[in-house]
Amino acid sequence: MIYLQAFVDAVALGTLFALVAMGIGLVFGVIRLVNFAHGELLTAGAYALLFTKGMPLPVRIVVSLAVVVALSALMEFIYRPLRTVSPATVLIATFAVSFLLQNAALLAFGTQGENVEFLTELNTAFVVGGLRIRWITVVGLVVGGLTLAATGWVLRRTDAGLQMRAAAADVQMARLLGVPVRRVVVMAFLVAGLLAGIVTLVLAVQRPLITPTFGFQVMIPALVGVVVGGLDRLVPAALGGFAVGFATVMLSSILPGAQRVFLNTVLFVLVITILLLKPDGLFVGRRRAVERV
Amino acid sequence: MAEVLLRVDGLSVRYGAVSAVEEVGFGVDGGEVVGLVGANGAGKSSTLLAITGVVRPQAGDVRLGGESIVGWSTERIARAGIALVPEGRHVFSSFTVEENLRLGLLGRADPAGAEDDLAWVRELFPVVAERADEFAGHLSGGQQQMLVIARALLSRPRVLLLDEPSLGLAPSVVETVFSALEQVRERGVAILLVEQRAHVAVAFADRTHVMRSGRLVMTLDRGHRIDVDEMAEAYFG
Repeated sequence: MIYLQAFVDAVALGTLFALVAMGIGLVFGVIRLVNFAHGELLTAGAYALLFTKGMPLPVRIVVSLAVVVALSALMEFIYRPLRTVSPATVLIATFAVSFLLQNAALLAFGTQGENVEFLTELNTAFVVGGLRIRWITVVGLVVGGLTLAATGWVLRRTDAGLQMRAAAADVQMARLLGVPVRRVVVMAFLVAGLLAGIVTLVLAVQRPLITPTFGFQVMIPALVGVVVGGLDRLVPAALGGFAVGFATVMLSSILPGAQRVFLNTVLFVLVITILLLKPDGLFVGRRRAVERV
Repeated sequence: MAEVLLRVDGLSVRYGAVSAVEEVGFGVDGGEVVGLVGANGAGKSSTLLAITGVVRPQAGDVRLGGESIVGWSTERIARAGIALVPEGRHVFSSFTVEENLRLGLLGRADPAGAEDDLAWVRELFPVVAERADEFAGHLSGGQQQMLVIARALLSRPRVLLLDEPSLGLAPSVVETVFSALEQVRERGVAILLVEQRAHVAVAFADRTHVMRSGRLVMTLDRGHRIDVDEMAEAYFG
């Protein structure tokens, strides 16, 4: 029974991590940039919820989403001059943006953190068949599942989605077909921002203490998930994010109490093993040669 | 006087210290097929890449309908009506055949007539209709070649650039591809055909320029009977 309980929580966290992973993977797919500052999108959204404390619920949600999407668009603008420099430089630049934002939050708001008091009633639990399930778990699952499905639909069925996937698969060929790559990149950041904003809303209910590392703590395991799943394909990246979130919760329930400090150790040993066995990612088939014009 | 549809003048392309194309000039008019042949490394593909804005030429001009397009982005040049079918096919292999075609349609400057064009390419290459829902990566090499040509045509190009369309294809497939290209020519689309196999180009193109070490060294008329010695001289000097 304890495992079943853990299973429910694991699926819930996995779904959230999958959304974060998808955002990271979407941007990486289109411009081969790992945005280390993706976590700060979540942090910004959480502080937006904090500042709108006491305001009507729809206002808080809209403001938070808007802040996250706007910051994501701003990041695209900041990274724009770096298109032609080496990937290592770009990676360092995204580190810099991440730490800059974290430390700015630290200076402005301190390390203590504050309770966001957002939809606290969703933290109450109901009992079904001996399982205690918090409402936010259900809400998170539904919202996360719908968001994943909607993103998948946009990518598969819409013209913009098709162009985004084309730019991700072979940017040169996409250009030759007239795909407006610059617009596609902006779009990828906007969608990634929207996904991050939605994750923030669910996460702020589950972890109401808002600190400068609110998003960073989620981004790191999600990024690990992206790498485990396969960096350059969206579905594998999302599955990887899910797997890490899922494994985190399951491991913490399986490990005996005193051993829980080793949770991350066990998790990363698993990750390293997977990467040694399948360096291209757990959910990616045999890699095809990358074709370029 | 009306300008030639695609006009290349004094085009030079350099990669660092290596010169790939030197002062190349030629024109392709509407409904015309011009061949460009030469040995591997003669500068044929670099010429195409310079026309499509993938590489920036060091010198020279490329004009489409009288307007200089040097310095334009690749996507803008594509939308202006120049479609490149690059060497090595470049289907989006994890996309369905239908999705590949849709990408071609999205590249049109003018959405009018899309349905007609779709019907036309399906008639030209029935395989793109028959296997519409399959992954493009599952098609044979010849079918992929047909797909990329169909995809390029759906963007309604004024000039179609083909880089080695016969490469690695069985003779019967080459025949199918070229009889389809014949119909493309009849529609008034200008074609610039790059080939390593000179006889393929000379048989199809209205005239064929021979390239060696980045320069045009000779021009052959359509149906010119290729003499082995003459060709060896043109190719290798």
